[in-house]
Amino acid sequence: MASQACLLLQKQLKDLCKHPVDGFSAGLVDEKNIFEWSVTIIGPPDTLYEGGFFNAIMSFPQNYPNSPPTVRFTSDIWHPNVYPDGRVCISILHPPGDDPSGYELASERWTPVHTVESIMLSIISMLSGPNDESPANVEAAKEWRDKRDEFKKKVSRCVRKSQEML
Amino acid sequence: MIRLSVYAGLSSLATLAVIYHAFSSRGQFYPATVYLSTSKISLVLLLNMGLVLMFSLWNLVKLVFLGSLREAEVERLNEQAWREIMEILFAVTIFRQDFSVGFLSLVVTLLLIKGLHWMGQKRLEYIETTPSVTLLSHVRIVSFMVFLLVLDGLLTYSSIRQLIQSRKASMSVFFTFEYMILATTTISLIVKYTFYVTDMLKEGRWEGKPVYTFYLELVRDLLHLSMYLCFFLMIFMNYGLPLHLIRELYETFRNFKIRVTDYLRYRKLTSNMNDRFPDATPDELSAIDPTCIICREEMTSAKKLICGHLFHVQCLRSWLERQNTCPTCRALVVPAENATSSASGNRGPHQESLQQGTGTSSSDGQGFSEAAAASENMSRHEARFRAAASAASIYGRSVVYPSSANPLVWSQGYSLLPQTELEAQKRFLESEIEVLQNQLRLLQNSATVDTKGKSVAETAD
Repeated sequence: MASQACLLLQKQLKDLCKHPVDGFSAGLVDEKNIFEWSVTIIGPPDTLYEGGFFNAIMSFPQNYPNSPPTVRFTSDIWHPNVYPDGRVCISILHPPGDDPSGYELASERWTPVHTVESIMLSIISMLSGPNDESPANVEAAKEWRDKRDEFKKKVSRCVRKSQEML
Repeated sequence: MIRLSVYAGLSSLATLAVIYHAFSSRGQFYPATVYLSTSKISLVLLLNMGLVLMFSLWNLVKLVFLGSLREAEVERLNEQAWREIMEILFAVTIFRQDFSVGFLSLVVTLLLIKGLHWMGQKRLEYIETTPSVTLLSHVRIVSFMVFLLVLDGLLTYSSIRQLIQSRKASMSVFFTFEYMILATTTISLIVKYTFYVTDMLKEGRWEGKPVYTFYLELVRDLLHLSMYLCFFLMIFMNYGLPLHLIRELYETFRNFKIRVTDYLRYRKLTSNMNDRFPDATPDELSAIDPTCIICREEMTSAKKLICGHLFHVQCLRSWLERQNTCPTCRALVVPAENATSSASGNRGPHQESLQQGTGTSSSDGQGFSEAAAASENMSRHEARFRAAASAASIYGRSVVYPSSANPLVWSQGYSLLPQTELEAQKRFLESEIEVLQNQLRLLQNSATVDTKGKSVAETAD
């Protein structure tokens, strides 16, 4: 399995190098390990995250594409669907077998057709439209719903911080 | 590392000092050793020295076989070590009557050897996921695994011998079990490595690898589970509840259960994979972009799901291990249990008739024979049929046929032979309508018959 995953990931890496996609850039954390990707997401325009550069690490399991990777932001980010430790919580990254939260449809979860590109695009769309029904960061979700001003303030602080880190 | 060497240096200094003191104050060898083994301070210092020696030896082994550890390995080591220490402390409470310096040193040895095993596992995982591995790391990991196996074997042997000599369940039972489990872990590690090497020699195209790995893990878990159960019972009979085993036993059991359920589901789906899913025809392959969406490699042969999507048989198999839906559209690969049983009977001839549907007569004939077959089939499996009909109504479909399969075959055929195919399609649909009407009539009949309590077979005839 390992080698199938290797081949597939190498192919995707090559594709992304040749044809970069707007909105994010991707590379390896360590040249020797194809299973750990370092990605930078550019805050989507016309959203609160505009102008930010958010770094994240994607870790693929050995049996990719049969199991989903995990994505963890290393930059500070304030978002209802990102755990305080940076892990991204979106349904397509959840393995289809067990349901950790108990209300997701199986149809929204991982399938092997997802690529780095489709995952990144999902995350970008998550940034532009938070889903406050299944919050990973409850406090952020509450603010997003009730105290939008405070939420905006925190997000713009993250954006500024991410710019300083460049 | 520096702190460790400083500590080791201080310990050996202290030990030397206490030995020097013993000999200089007692003068002769015998009184000196008596002093060393009775004085509390010198005993503690000597024990400490023993620990340091063991730990240095351990570090040496680590350095020789593994070199410097990676971050993930250190993390794993720390995490597991704390859990293991807790469990060993529980174990010590059970064997408290046997507690002695010897026991303590055996426990420490066990802990250190376990640590080596964890690192071996992590290192192998790392090697498996790294694209280019140097020859040196291969040599290292192989010799490390052999070393571990020899170590496990020797220690198992010695503890079994002790067990036989003492002829009672004591702490040697504990060590026998622990080392036996470690030995099986090492063996499974070696087999796993063999798989990896085989896969590598075949340039990553060994299709059987996931299947074999699956079996390997199944067997390993079964072995562990039975060993733990044995040990649990033995301790329970002789000493009382073995607290330290509960977590381990539960975890092994849970793993095993998950694996068995996975296995059963997997077997059910893949046992007749070749028959269950039709091969895609070359035309179907050329009609679409022939890339397997799972591995993004080109397909020269493929399996077709009832939703019409095509995949490599191996890719499909490894996905079906986890989930029985189509990777692309998430349609169930096997429609609801009841619907399949009647549908599968019809699907075969159905598609055939469509694919060779150039000759109108053949299509017609098939349609009628199908009608006859269907009615016969129904009279035999009336109950099953009804369930299919109800399932179909739930899905909002007219009746049993997997309608989603038709458009693809249809459009593909259409592009080949527009006129004749259209004609054939029309006739086919007509015949299908006839069949359906026939079935409807029979269903209604059977419903009325049922109320009278007669068997359906009679009315169908």
